[in-house]
Amino acid sequence: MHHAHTTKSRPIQILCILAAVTIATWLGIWLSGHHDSHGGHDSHMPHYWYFGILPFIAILGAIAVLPLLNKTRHWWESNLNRFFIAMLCAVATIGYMIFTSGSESIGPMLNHAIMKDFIPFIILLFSLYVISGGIYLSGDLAASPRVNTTFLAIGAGIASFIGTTGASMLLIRPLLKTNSQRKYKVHTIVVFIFLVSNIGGTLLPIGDPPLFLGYLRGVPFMWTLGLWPMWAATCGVLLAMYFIWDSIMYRKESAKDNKRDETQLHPLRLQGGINFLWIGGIVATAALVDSAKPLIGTDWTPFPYCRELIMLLFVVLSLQTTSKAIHKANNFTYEAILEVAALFSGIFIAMQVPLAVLGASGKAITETMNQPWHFFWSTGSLSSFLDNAPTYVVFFELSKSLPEGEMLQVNPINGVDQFVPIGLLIAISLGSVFMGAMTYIGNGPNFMVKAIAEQEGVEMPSFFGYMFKYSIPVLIPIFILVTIFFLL
Amino acid sequence: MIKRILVALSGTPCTGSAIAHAIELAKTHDAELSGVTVIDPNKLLDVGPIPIGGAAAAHELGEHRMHLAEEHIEEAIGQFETACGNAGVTNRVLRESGDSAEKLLADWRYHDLTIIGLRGLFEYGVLHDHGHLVLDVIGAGLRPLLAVSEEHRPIQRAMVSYDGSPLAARAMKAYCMLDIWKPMPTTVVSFLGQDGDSDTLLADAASYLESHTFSTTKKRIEEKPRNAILRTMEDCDADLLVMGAAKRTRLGRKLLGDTARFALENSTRPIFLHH
Repeated sequence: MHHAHTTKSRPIQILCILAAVTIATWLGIWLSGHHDSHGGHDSHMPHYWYFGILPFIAILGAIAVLPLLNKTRHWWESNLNRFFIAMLCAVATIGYMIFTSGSESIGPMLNHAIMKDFIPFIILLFSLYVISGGIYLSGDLAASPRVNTTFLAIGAGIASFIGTTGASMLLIRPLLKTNSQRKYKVHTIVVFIFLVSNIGGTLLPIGDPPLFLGYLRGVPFMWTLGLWPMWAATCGVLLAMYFIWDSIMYRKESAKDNKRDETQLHPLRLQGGINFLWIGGIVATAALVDSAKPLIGTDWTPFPYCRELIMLLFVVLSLQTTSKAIHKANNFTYEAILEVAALFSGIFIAMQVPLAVLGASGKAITETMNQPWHFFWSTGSLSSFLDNAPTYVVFFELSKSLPEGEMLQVNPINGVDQFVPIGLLIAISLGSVFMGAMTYIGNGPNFMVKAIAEQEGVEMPSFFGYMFKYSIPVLIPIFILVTIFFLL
Repeated sequence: MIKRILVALSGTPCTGSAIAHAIELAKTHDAELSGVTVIDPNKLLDVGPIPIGGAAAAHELGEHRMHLAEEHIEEAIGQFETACGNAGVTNRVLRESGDSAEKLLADWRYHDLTIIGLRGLFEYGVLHDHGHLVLDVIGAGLRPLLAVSEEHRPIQRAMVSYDGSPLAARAMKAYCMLDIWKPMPTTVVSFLGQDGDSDTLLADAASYLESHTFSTTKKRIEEKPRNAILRTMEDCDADLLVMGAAKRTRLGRKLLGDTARFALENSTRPIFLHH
């Protein structure tokens, strides 16, 4: 189980509380007088923008570097300290905006960052995290290539519906148990990361966080289902390749290990299955409840945050109907989701200036970067190393500068209709989801799977070993094919 | 005179063999044994870059690795103390925490001989550095050193790899002068590529060894040492390889071929290193 990592520092606690209360108060005062504003970005280039983007760079830099340094690793383990850095970056962004645009710019900015992005985003993630943490699958099957491939196919199939994190956490333990008697299993875990922790989550906004941010920005809930040809082709190629790969590795196993594998069996057993019902509720809520339009078949328009309230209700139902033993078996704690909340509270504020910069300079950038494949590889390259959610948003906003081809109308900003080229949106969606598989840090579940596998005694490749032995040789050729067949 | 032997309790498959060799030598020389364990929290807790949302998993993995390492350490210490107790050898355990190479070198200062396992130091079932630490401590000057393989076999015959260089000469002299093993049949081998005349070199080396009462044979191999050293060792039925070693730069190693490195990474029999 996870424990509190560090002694809490009172000054940091006080500063965090002060920053959070100040931001909340400012937002509250602004909201009380501006109920109908959409907030958002002006199209002019922010003054001294190069200072304005520093907090965004700083928070991404802190996330990348602080866990690696011996001197800061332990300090960074505390969610309070992460929140402190997030608030520092948020306050720096607010200070910059007051200095360059006046205090009246803060309310709309915070409304956009917190009310429209952060709260719906974190509540969806929280709901999926808690509910999927209540499902436990155990068992030990014979680890034949057919069984392993079936595991991966099921994972790739359900990742869109319960999220890549939920699908990964549900399936990784029984997959490891199934393969515990096998010597050659690293490739299975790696392809699991490719398929279940990333590519499988392409089909619905709840599959992967960047797609949900697209949904919050006005992409229709069912739009991502239209990505099924790319999803099916990529998953199909990977599964076929994996089956051949695993068949070769299976023959290398010793007869003794294979014998043990075939005799030490436990049938699959699902516990907490009722949580699939609550996840279905989350999917339906996300798809149907939108405070911007009437509920389908009625005249009733849901009130603001109705969707989030319903999701929280499903969380309560899940907690009420799930035994503690299941959470314990899943090693379930709230630490991971608290970490996401702590960091994204700052990221969403700090990224407002870079988004405004992109809004103002988008036309210049898109003079050279204007093809779907440009967006696919750019979004993907950044998503390989940075969190794919803010990366998606950055390129989503950039794509609005290219009013060419078939367009999709998304949420208006400041009352002005907004459109995104569909070709670019496909490329951005695929790039952010698919290429999250390129490294252990491309997507949260990648690292979780690696950590669980290592704890079960699998010698997983190093950060660069994963890239150079697996993701680059296997995925890059597949992504080139995706580019050729779907994006050119 | 060997009075204090330092043996690395590394938690690798070679640890048992290292302990057995150390006990044999301790009994021969009436020496005391120090078993050293090193836990390196910085390395164990370093799980690489972490994505957003992965910190809890990283923390758990770090804790798991620490716990696993501690278990392996206790197991290795138990194995060491039991073996020493059964053999009636005076012993003590040095539990170190910190940088593995630094700690081993700090303890080495007050010991006459260090015994480690080939291809792994202080891994404890967690770290997998594929022998890099062994090369680091050798490069840092940890000599004389006996690096042993997983299979324990009594040392009754030796092979000295000799190219006439000062490094090789120092290793050969240490092998004779330290009296670690009683004089045993020894083959002096020269390989392709050394300076000077092979026959003269071999004759001089054999003469030196014989003056220390080693019965000696000579062998000239017309191949580069990296290609032939381990095969020749098996051909000679040698239980011990004596060689000089110098740490070279990564580039130098690539250009020159680092025979010592190759032998350390691939040998299945003990290697005695000095310079």
